[in-house]
Amino acid sequence: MKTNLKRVELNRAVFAARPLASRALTVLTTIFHRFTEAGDYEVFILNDGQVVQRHHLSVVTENGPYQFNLDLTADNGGNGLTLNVGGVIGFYASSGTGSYIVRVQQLTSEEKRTVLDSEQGVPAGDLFSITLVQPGAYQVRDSMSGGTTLVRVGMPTRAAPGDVPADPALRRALRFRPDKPSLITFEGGKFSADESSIMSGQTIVIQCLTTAQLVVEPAPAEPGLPPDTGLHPPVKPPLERPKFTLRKPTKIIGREENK
Amino acid sequence: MSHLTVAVSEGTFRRSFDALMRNVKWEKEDSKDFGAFTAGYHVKGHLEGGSVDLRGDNSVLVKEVDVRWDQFELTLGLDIPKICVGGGCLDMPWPIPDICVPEYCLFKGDPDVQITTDLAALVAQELSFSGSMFARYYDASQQPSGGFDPCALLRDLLVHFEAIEPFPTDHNQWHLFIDPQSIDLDVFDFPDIVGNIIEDALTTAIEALIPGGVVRDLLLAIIGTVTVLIRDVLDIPDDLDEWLSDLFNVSFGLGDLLLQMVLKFFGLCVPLYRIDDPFEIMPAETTTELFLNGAQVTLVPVTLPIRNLSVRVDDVEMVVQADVGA
Repeated sequence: MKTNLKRVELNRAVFAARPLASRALTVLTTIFHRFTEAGDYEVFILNDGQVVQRHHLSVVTENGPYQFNLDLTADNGGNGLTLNVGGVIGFYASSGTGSYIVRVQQLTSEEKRTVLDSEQGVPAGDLFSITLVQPGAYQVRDSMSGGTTLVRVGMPTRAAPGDVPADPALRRALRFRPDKPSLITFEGGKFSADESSIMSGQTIVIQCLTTAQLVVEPAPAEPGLPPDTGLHPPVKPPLERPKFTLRKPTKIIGREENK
Repeated sequence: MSHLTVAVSEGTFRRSFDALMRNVKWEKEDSKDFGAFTAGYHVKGHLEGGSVDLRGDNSVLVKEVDVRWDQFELTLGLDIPKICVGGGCLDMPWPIPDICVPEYCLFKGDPDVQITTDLAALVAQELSFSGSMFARYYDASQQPSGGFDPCALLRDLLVHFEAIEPFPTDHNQWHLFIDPQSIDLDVFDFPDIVGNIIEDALTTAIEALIPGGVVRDLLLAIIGTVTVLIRDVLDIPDDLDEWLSDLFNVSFGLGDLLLQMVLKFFGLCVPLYRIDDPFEIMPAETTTELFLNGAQVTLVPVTLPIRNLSVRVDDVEMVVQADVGA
C-alpha cells in the first residue's frame, strides 16, 4: 500500500485563540461598511502602520454590485473598485496572523473626508462580524459604553456511524452547516440580546446603529463555577473491545514416551 | 478427394493449445480523471488451467480457463473539497442589501490524497470460449494491407521471449487458427473485504491531514465522517466494492479489453499450427553414392506445394486435408 500526500498547510489562524477586536482586524473578523453616497473614494489598508493596499473606489448610482468582500491579505495590486450606492464592502483577512486597519476617504471637490477608520471604531450604520471556532463562552463588549453581551459557542454533535443515511442528498441535508450567520444589533450602549448561542464555525454579525468599539474575549468565569466549556462536550470515539485469543499448545512428540 | 490427410488427436491438440495459451500474457495501465477523484490501474496477468474439448459440430470448446492476475494495482486519488467555516448570507431589512459573510477555509491550497493498493490476490475470474478452426495462407512476400500489421508488436514480443518461432521471410506457410466466436469472461466482482481495504487506506490518508483536538472535532462535524467524505467525493451511495466493480467493468472497460485480446491472440495473430508451403518431405542430403567415381553430390530437399488446405474437427481429432499443387 502506497500513500502520497500533497503538502498540506493548515490555516492555523482560524484555530488560534486570541482576543478579537474591531480596531485591529484579523482572521475571523470582518467590518462591513455601507456606502450611502455616490462618488469617489480612496481605500487604504494598513498593517503594522504600513499601507499594504490602496484602492480607488467608485460608488455609482446604477449597474454596480451591491456587495463584495475585500481580502486584506491578498495582493490586489491596487485595482479600481466599483460599488453601487447603498452597497456594502466587507473588509476581512482570510489567513495569516497580521492585524489590519481600514481607512476610507471620500474625495469631494473641496476636501477629503474620512468615512471609515476602523481603528477609531465601527461607525453607525456599519456591521462587524466574528466567526468563532473554539467552543466556550465569549463576552462581546463595547469599550466606549461598556455594554456587553454573551455568546456561547457549542460543538456540533456528530452522528454515530450507524446513523449516517446512505442517500448522499439526505446526508448533505442533515450535515452541520457553518454558513448560518446570526444577527444582533447594538444601539446606545445596549445589545439587542443579553445572550446568543451559535455552533463552532458559525458567525455572529453585530449591526451597529450607533458607533462602537467592539472587543470579543473569553467570558470571565462565574464565581464558584468552573469556566464554561460550551454547550456540548466533544464526542469521544468508542473504545475498541478487547479480544479473547485461544491458541492450542504445540504437541511435543516423544516426551510422553520418556515417562 | 484430397491428396493429403493429416489427423491430430484430441490429446495432442490439447497439448498444443496449452503450450500456446501459456504465452497469453498482458500488461496494461491507464487512468481517468473523474473530476473530484482520479482512478487508475496497472494490471498484469496470464491464463492458466481450463479444459479443451473438440466437438462433433466442428467446434472447439475451451472452458473455465483461470484469469490469473500477477498484478492488479488500483490507484485512487481524492481531491479533498474545500472545508470552511463562516460564510452564509443575512437577509437584511431594506434599504440595506443582503450581506454575505466571508468564509475561512481550514486548509491553504487544495489538499489531495492518493493511495495505491494491489488487489491481485482478491480478484479471480474464469474465461471460456468456443470457436471453429480455420486456415489462412501466409505469403511471406506480401506486406500487410495499408502497411500496418496489428499483430506485429505482439509477435515480435513472443519471438523475443522465444515463445514462438519468427514468421519466415523466404517461404510461405499455411496457418491454422482457432477463431473464437463466443467468449465468456466473469465480470469483475470484488469481495467485501476490498471495499474495506480501500476505505481504510483512504481514511488513514485523510486523517493524517487532520490535527487532533477541536480542529478534528469541528472538521468531522462539518464533513460528517471521513467515510462519508470519501463516499461524497466518489459519489457512491453504499458499497465501495460494488462501485469498484462498476469502475472496472464499465468505466475502464477492462473486461472488454481482455475479450478483445483473446480474440486477437487466437483468431488473428498467433496460429495454433503452421505448415510450410512448399512442405519438405525429404531434407537436403549430401551423398557420394550417386556417381561411380564417388564424387560428392548434394541433393536438394524434396518438397510438395500445398494447395486448398482445409481443417475441421470432430469429437476425437482435428483433420487437415490439402491437395498437392503443380
